[in-house]
Amino acid sequence: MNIEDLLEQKALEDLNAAERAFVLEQMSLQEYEDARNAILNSQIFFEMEAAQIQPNPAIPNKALLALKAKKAAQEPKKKGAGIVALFAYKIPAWQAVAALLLVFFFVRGLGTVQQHQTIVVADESLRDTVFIKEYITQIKELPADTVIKVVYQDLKPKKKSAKKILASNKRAANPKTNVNVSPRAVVQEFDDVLQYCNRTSSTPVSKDTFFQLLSNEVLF
Amino acid sequence: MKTIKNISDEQLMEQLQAGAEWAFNELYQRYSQRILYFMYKMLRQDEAKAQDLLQDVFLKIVEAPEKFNVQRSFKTWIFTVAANSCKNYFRAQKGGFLDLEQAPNLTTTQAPVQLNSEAFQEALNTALDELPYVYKEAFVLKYKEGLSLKEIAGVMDCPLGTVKSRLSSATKLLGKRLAPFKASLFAKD
Repeated sequence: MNIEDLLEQKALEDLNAAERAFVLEQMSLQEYEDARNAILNSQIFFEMEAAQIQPNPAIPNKALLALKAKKAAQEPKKKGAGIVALFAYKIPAWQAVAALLLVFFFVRGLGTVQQHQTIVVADESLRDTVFIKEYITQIKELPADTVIKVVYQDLKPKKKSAKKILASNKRAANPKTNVNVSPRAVVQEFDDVLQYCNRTSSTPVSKDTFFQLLSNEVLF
Repeated sequence: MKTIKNISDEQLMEQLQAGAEWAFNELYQRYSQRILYFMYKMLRQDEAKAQDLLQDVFLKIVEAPEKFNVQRSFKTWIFTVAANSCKNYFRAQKGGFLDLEQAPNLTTTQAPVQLNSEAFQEALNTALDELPYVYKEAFVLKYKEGLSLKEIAGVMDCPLGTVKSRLSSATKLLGKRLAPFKASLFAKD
């Protein structure tokens, strides 16, 4: 219940006891009647006066023209709407700061990864510079008067390695300097040399091929 | 079938935001007369100025319909725009109207008054114009435009209690001023 609606809707004589008591809390009965009369007369007068005033017919036309102009102005913008919208899009300041921080830490993280990669590359290059020497020890049974010559060879098993070994043997097996060499020992020596060559070479050769090569290099 | 007449003001504004001219026409049909008369009364019966401001109000709606939040009441919004236009006009006139809250010393006429509509019209307009601006605004919005107290509070941007207080004061002052005129006034013409 409010006094404004009562004033508009109910005459003094139509008020029930509760409404009358409510009205009396706020104004006298005479004031109620005067206020109600003023409201009702004003409403009648407002309606009469409003009927005599009509909006200017040019107004909607002007507004519609403005609407059309606005639409026309928006049309060309649609071509570059994507980029324009991207730049025109607004975000709160805290979001911009958060995005900057994220980008900062992301880029920083990328730098860390690159550093790790550099270390790995350095490790690999160090490996390339390490050279390992391998010594191969062979025990052979030879006659007591055999002249022993120590030959150091690089471990680069190529096809030529067989030639080099043979060449060393050629120098070592000088018939003028070796005295009383038994044929059995010579055969054994050849077998040992062949076995050695096959073990060290990447391309093992048969006994026949070995003898062929030996004959080419030594005998003829 | 849903006709234009059944579409709510807020739905029409949604359409207008999408660029629909028919939505504007419908809103204009619904509100132009009411807004014009409201501004006419607030501008002290200056019809030419009321027409100008009416045009401004609808141009604002057309130019920036996106300013309206479709979750709110369109009626409250458009009356707020109209009321602000009137206030801005008076402010531009540098004090061309009564102080918003200043209570006037309305003179009551106890002598017998000739009971006709012209006399009442003159007396009412004088009484309304002598009311504080906010009293008149609340009175016209309530008893001419039929807005609820909550809607008036929205338009005037003040608490509900303030609206009640202003309405109560306005009706008491007008009641005193128009006491010589009785309810049967227009029936006698």
